[in-house]
Amino acid sequence: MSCDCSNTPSDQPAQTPPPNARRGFMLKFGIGLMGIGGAIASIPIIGYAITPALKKYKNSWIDLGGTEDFPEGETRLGKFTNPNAAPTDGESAEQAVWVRSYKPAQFQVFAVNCAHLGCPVKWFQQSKLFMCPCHGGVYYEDGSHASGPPPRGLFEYKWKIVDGRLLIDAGRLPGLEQSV
Amino acid sequence: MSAAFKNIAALVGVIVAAACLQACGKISATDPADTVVASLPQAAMTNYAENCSACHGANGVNGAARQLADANYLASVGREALINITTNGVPGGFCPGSGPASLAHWNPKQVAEFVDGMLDAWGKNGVALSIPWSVKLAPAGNASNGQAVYAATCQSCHGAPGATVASASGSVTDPNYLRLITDQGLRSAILFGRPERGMPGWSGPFPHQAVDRKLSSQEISDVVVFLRSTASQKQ
Amino acid sequence: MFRTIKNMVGGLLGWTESRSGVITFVQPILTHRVPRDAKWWYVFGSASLMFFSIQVITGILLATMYVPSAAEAYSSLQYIDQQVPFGWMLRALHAWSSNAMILMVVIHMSQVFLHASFKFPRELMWMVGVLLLFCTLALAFTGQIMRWDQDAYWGLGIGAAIVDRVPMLGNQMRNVMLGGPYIGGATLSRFFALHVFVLPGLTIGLIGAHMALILKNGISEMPKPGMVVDPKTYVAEYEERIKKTGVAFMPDAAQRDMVFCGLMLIIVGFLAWYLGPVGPNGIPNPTIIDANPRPDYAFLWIFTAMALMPPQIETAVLLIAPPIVVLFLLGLPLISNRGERAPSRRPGAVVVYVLTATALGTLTWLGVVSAWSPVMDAWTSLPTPVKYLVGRTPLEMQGALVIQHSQCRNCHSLGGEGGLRGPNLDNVGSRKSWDQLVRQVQQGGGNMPAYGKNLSSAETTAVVAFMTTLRNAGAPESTIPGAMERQSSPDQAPKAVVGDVGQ
Repeated sequence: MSCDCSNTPSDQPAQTPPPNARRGFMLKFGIGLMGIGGAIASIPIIGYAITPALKKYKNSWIDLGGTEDFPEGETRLGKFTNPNAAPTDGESAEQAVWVRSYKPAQFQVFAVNCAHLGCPVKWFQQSKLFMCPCHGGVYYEDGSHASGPPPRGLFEYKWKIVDGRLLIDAGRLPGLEQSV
Repeated sequence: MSAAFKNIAALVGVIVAAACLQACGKISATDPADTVVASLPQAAMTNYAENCSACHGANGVNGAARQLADANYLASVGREALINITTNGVPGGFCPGSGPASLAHWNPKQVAEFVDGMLDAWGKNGVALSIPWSVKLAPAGNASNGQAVYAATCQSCHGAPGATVASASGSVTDPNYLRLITDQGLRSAILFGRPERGMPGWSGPFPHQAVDRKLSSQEISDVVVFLRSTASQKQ
Repeated sequence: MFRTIKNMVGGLLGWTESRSGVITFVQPILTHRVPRDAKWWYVFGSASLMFFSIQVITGILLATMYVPSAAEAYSSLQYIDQQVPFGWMLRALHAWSSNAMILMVVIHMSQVFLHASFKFPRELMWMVGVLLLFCTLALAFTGQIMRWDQDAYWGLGIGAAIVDRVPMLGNQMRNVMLGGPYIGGATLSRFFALHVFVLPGLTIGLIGAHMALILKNGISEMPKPGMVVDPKTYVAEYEERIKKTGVAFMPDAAQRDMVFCGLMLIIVGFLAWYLGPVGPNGIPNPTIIDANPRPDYAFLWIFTAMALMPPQIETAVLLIAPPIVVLFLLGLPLISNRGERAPSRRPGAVVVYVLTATALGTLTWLGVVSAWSPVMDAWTSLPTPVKYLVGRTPLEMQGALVIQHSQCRNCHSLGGEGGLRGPNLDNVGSRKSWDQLVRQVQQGGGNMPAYGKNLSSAETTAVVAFMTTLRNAGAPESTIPGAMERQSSPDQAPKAVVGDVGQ
């Protein structure tokens, strides 16, 4: 109903050409102006929306604790606060990793996220297995795939020892498309 | 199944609820969050069911591992050692313990509450043994004495060492068995027996024995040393 | 007195009508003619709409108390449940009404599919309806995130892991979904925005379009075999029939809608009161690795599919299947927009429907059971059945301990209790010989990890000795190479021995 304007001018009696001519110009001008304004406004809008895709999120070296906290021959849960944490994260900023010490000063640091679909794997000291509660992925103590749907072994973090402290390179959720 | 039942119950309930609007007035009082809180005396039993019952049996008896609902056992071991075992498990044995560093991550207060709950429920009127429970306090044993004691009190059920014919209650000189059980495990088994399985403790009565007798602390050590020696001979 | 009031009301109504034209606008909508045979089959769309309205009302009210911050969402839910008068009931209504809405949408869609109501000229109604289905499911998924408990946290993790599998762009898409490189406050906030602004807005718009199309094209009749849809003649024929035999929507069809909606509302209200709110379960702290995440009912079938799919094809299926399903659903009326509508003349469609419904139902049921998941606490909480301990030798008793201690029961059940991932061990002694059991334990295989490195030879011997005693009553002891190591034959002597000892 509001589309009367779409009637071609030739349908109208030719008594009032000036308004139509101006209307045609105004319309084009308006559309152009809207386009320019929209383009300007969409820079922050689109930028804001896709920032997470463009931004390079950095990992950083995080102190998991003294090496003595992870005795040889054991696999223990290491906890840290996400270096990328935002103020509103609450407890979700806390992160966990499985730390295995298999030789003096030699570690494997595994993501708790199952390599299948990211559920938290649990370590069983007695059978020396990691088990996933979601789809039953199982891993051996060295993180290699033992059974179930995961396409690969557990994700491993880079680690180093500085002044007797175990540091890991962390900050992002581990996933298939990136090395942790 | 229960969900299906609930759904049917819900359908039936609709009619009841619609007919009885006054009942609906009380709805807000039955806050579902109220029912979540467990009363404290039950906490120990919940912890037991979740973490211990698999090996020690549903109610402290009839498990694959030692019967815990045994007043004399609890009294003999004592609160302090029970707290230690509950926290750290059994060294060299299968029990992983429930302390901060082990399976259940109980804090010391939870462990103490658990042990007290156990003593309360299962340790009533327990009598501590007059002879040492722990191998650390037991006298050193002598294998040849132990062999004689074994022949007199154990052999009728467990068979002669190295026998190839199956014995009634199964061999305790099987090298694989001996590799899986600690000296403390052997001593506790002899001391307290396995009442739920029909095995007598140190004070007997031992089946097929003419004379009723009790074992001494020394004799138990001897038997333990003797059992160990059978394994090393076989190897 | 009464007359005066009546006049006043009438005057008020007249004034409102003269200024707004609301009655002139609404009346044709209310009294538009619908087929006479549009009976109980046609109530489910209205019921979907009603439950959506309940969702909007309860949702707005919940939003007045809920705090969409990862730091406070959980405690704000507890506050609503425990402190706010009727808070728990409101959350329960929101949860159960959402389940009911999904159910109604699915039934409504089934009816439209089976009756082929999507054919000419109602293709667009179907397409809008398909979009509404996706909106409904998206609302359900984002709503589950609002609970911000362990299910929500790890459910997001699963979603992130799926998105992550997209080639090339996976990581970027994942970061957009999560609002950053990990699951946190930004994630909850953007799912909140989706759940309360974007998706409801979209849904309301699509519902408007759906309804406008109803008024434009009319409600379809019950299909009759032989009554063929021909785009050239259908509209004229339909209008002719409706003019002749149609009835006014209000009250002829609306009365049935009202009866059904009222009944459904009472049932859902009762369910909400009886079953209470859904969640929140555990605190969403990623360092609590005892979580056992499960999606809500509507997504359990996906959860199952991921567990049962062969790993080799999983990524391909995850990325290719959804677009195919979407395109098929949207394109359905374009593929088939004419011809028979009656299910009896469309056996292919009925077969497709039955297969799909059976598959979804089965997958959902399997998801409830989750047989593939290890029972994480089975090894410490499920006692060895007493009947399997009676009369066992000391070595076999140690084997029973190894079974518990090595978490065997997380995947294998004994006496009906334990994991369902592996075969139950109740009768394993009849199925496998000593040597086969040793090999299975040490080398694994058939989706079982190898325990060779983790069990000593004594432990292996003990556990195998115990397992060989697990036989059906009366089953023969299988010829067991290496049975020399076994000490006794448990089904015979021992029970007598126990009695013996007691004397």
